Amino acid sequence: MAPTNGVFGHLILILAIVGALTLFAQRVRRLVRLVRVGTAEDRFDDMPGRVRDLLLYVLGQRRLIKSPNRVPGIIHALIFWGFLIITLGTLQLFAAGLDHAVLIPAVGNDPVYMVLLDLMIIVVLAAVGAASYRRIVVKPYRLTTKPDAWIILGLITVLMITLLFTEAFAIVAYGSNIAHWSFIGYALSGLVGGLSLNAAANLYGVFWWAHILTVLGFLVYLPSSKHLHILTAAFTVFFRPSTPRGAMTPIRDLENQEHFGVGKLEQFGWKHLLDTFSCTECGRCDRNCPALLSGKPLSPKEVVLGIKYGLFGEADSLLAGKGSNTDGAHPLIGGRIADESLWSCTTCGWCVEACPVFIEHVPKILDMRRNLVLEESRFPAEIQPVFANLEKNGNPWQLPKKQRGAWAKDLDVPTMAEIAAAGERIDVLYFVGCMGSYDQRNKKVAAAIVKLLKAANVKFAILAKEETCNGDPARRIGNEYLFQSLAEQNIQTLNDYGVKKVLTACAHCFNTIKNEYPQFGGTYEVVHHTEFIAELVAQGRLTLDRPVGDGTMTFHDPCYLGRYNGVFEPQRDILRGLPMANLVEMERTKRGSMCCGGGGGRSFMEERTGKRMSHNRIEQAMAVKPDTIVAACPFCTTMFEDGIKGMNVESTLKVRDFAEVVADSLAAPGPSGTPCYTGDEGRD
Amino acid sequence: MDIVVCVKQTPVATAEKRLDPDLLLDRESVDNAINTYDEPAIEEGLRLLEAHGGSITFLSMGPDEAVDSLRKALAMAGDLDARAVLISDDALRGSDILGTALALSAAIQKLNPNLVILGMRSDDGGAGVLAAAMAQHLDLALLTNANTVTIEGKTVRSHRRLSDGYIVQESDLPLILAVTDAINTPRYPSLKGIMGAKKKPLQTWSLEELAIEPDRVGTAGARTHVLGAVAPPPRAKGEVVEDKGDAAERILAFLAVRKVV
Repeated sequence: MAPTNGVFGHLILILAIVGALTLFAQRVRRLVRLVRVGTAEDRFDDMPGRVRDLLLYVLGQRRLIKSPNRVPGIIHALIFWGFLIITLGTLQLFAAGLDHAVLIPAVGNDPVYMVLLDLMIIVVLAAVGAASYRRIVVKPYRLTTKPDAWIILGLITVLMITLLFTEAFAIVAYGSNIAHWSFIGYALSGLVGGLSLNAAANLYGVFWWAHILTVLGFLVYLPSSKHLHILTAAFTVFFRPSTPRGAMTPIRDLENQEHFGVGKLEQFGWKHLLDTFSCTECGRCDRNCPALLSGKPLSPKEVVLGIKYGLFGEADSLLAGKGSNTDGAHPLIGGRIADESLWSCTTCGWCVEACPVFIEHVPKILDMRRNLVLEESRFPAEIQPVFANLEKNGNPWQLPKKQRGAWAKDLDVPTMAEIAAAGERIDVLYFVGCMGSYDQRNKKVAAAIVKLLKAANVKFAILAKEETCNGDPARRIGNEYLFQSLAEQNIQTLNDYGVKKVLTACAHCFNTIKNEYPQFGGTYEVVHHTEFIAELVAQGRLTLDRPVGDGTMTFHDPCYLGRYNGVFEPQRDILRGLPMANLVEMERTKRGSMCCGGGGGRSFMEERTGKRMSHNRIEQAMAVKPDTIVAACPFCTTMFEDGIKGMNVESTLKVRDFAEVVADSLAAPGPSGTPCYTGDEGRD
Repeated sequence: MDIVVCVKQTPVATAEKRLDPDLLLDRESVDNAINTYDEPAIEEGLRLLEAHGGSITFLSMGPDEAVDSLRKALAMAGDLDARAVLISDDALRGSDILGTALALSAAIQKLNPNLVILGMRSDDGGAGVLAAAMAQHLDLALLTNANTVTIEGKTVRSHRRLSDGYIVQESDLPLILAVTDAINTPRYPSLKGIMGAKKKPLQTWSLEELAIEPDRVGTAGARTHVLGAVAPPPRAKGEVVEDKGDAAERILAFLAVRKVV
């Protein structure tokens, strides 16, 4: 049944559908062509994983209904699932408009479906009401409400209302023995029951056409609004990266490249351009961004939108093959996106973790950094000596290569060179890293690890002066050339010694050696000291009997250990199991842990605006009233030490590394006879 | 402008510098880099080139490895018109300041620039008089300790840095300029610059091409000789004074014993 009677009625409908579909197709085609302006990327591997993620994250709305922002997420999920059901009904409506007898199986005139449909309409209306309440009353910081948002909410409301009234008037005008299954429409029909059959039939026609035309109008409007995400989200989720999140894309064949990184819109990979179409401006990325929250000029959302507006604004030029910024007035970096925005990023990965449609903010920022460093030589002045030092000294400071093993001088630690010369084998190579080797505070952590390894009878060695920086700061700042040079040195050394298993106490060394070294022929089993110590305890090789002197502890999840590599529990199991231990959790913890501010090379950069990122995190820690922040990365430890001094809270709060806490709990003094660490040793 | 910048490759600042049995600097077992004082010289050359146009040549005297430092200088030059010359010859080993000045000056005469730029001194030798020796050979004016440089037409004006201020000096091209370590912040070469440097012209000249007799340079021609070398005594442990109310007196006594007050 439908109000399209006779040739004329059917013709109008067909014309409307064809017209709308044509316009829609044209606009979609333009979008597809814009995406193809981007550079080639292989996103067609791991098909089973991609399909699985499509089901989990799109159908299952998984990221939306996780905290934080669980309630708004549920509101959205309801609108989404509601519309999946409703769309079937819309299809039925169109089908019947073309041929009155058509009944889609399990949909048309199906009682179960009819109930479900009306239920979903109410659910969607309620959700729209809740969404409006959030935008008008609650006004959360992350939500920027533009007219587009109201148009969409308005159109959804119109669709729901017209659908209900279509049902109601149809019931009044024509009745049926199954009408009551459309229970809301049925109830509504009671309210308008007083009309004459003729009037009801006319109103039925009015609302029917209103609904059809609104659907078609919405379809045409879609590609130019942020509601486009309903089409593109499935694609951005499907084409999500298949490589570990902590692995940056290598630039192969550096010598022969004409361009490095991204300095123009068309230099982005196509998936990065597609990403911008799925941004609904929800702001979940912004919500925990350590840069934004400390007043830095970086909003991950605005970076994505900057690229999007550039893409749309310069579409004509891009599609004609003329490239972007042809008049020089709209450079991507320094124009649409400020240099300082890019440098403010710590690469903590919160934005990437939070985005419900899998937009990759951090890789875009890093691509642009690469352009600034490798092509433009345009980066914060304080970084230049860092690069020079890494190149000349293998560490970010003016410290001699030859002294890299000096921290272990009196600790009876064998070097790989000695082990190899003696023809012995090791269980694990302890990759100490620059901080553990040279930094006064972190040398104590390295010493604690040595103590633990010896107590557990682990056969280990260090590279000492044969070790060089793992290269993470260079890579994250954008200097791929320097990174590859450092990585290749380490990989050569490790491979020459036949190293199979690598232990690190630094989350950055851990992530880079584990996830990035394989790109250059360095594949090892890599463990972080939290995991390794937990393993030793489980194997009974470490007995942790002495009561902890650190009072109430809270564990700060380093970004590159937790969010990037999923290691959350081993350290907590151990800490909770220590005698007299009291472990509390911060509000933003585990996947939601907020960055200390040291990543992305930022520990070598000045913070010139806003508040110190570390201070924000320390305040979050202090909210749960700990005596000690337990860290598991030397950057976090250093940022917190400085932050605690800067905030003048040294008398109430200290920071200790996981290894230091555990070493203190060892049942007996270390084999070298050195006295055990007491609680005061933690601070310099 | 036709600029020559003299560049020396020296051990990195953090390297343990050692003399080998011949009492010559051991350059083998250390990592080498551009002499830190030459980096501002290179940068100043590039800035003047950008402002006034022309070409630049980086000139170095050293073993084959010194080519790396010349390539780094070329990398800094990026797209600018730059080339490099290495004077390398076994007979040059052990040259003192005078031998070095002779060789470099001969090369500069061959290159015939209108401006020569050097750094203040070298990280390893540290004598700081090379520019003066070269000015003598080339019979050119020398502006030393230049903390700022401007060129107008043929006139070069510099601020000569003193311990308590500066004096303004002027002279006409051609001349030699010796710049301070603080005159500018040397640029970081872009990767394109680094890659491009490999393709830039780099010549190696021997003593024969410079028409210098081997007995005038190297250990053979040196007019100064190193007779011996002694490592400084290890730094004595200092005294830490904790203030229990008497710190001022104790510090005063410490200074008085050493006749500082």
